[in-house]
Amino acid sequence: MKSLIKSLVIVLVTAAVVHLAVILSAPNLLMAVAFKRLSAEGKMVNHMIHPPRTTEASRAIVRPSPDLAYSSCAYDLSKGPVRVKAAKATDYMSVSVYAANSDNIFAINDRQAPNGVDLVIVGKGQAAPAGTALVVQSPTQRGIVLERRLAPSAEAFAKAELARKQDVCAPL
Amino acid sequence: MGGFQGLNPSRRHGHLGAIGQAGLDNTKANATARTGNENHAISEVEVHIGVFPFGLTAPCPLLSGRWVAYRWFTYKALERRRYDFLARPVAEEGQSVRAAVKLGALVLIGAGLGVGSALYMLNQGMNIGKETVQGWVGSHVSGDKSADPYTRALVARAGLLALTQAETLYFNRTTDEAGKPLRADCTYQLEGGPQPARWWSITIYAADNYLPVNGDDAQSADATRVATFAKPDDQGRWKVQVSPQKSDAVHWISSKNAGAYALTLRLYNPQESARQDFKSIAFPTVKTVSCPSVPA
Repeated sequence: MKSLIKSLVIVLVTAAVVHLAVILSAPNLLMAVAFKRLSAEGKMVNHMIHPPRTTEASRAIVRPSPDLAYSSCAYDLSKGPVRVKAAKATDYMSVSVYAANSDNIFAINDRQAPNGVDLVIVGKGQAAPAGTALVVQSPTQRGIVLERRLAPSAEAFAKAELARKQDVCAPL
Repeated sequence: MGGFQGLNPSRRHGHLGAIGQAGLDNTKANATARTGNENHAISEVEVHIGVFPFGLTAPCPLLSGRWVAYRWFTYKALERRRYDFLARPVAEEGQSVRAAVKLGALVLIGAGLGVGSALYMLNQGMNIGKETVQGWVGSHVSGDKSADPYTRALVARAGLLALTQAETLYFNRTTDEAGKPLRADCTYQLEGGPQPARWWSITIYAADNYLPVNGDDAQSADATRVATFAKPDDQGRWKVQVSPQKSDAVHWISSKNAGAYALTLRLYNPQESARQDFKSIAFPTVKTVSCPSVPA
């Protein structure tokens, strides 16, 4: 009886600890997976990538919208701040920055940045370069920048594709 | 026999490994058998000695029953101790291995339960901490840094890299107006009016949170295409059909191969009133038009 209770306690305590560990680490783990996918297994870090139009075969990010043109940049601040530029848009466009714990640490859209977005992401203890108008402080060294441009039709997508060619994501 | 039980090595060691157990069981059996006989013999000797002529104990201690008994006990005790000395490491090794295996098994079961329950929460707990209005489930916290660990995990699972509330409101629904789960083989009429946002869309997602794979390239309706194809009336009301096959509907979302699917409404740059109060939103409705009878 005593050993049965002891066994039950061991099982329940382990279950509770593991359950919490999975819940707490899920955002970081899922972000790590997304980082890997959006950086071509780590080969395209600090580089803006422009995947083709979202189709039923798209599996990089859950619940992609087929009506948006997504561009992304997996950033790594270990070698210094990273600059992100998004060309101006005539329709809805937004740039969001996500830390490695999945927090959306910054977001800006075309209404707030009618001439396009130009920002610098700095890590902990990194100084923002002089003259930078928009500085985003990232609590983690790694993270993801996601750009969305409205593109509900093939024509709209072609237009967004043309604009986003001027986008930049690169170390300073 | 009673005295021997107290010193019985297998009793003292309790749980033993298979090897230790077998070895000690052997000894135990022998000891018990011999003890029984000797006890009997000793008492017989005692009786004999007790009735020794002249009522004296045996003149020579070698013949004394007590001495024989003493020698016997000493011998057995020594033998047992000698045996213990040899057997203990085996016994303890077996014991610790068994305890470690047991602990490992318990921890494995616990870890399995922990992972299972966490995954269950992540897969089934989508509606936790959400507000449901007219069948549309929205969250006031998605994309919010202050969200609790469960909401954060759920958002990471089903809405990683989602936008904040100021940028977008996301609503999800898995049932029709009557509250019945949406079925891939049924035909539904999606009907609504202008939405309180700069741009909106409704997208179908299969149970795996990705677009259903069916080759139809008809996964969503959005403000721009609805305005062009769905021919809204002067009140701006529009209709979109959700069904596995395209019929004569002007605007269509394909539910082919979608399984137990969900419809997601996105309101981009929503009006402040919509953000503050989901109930103020005139949500599109999802009415069942027809449903094949459920296969038996």
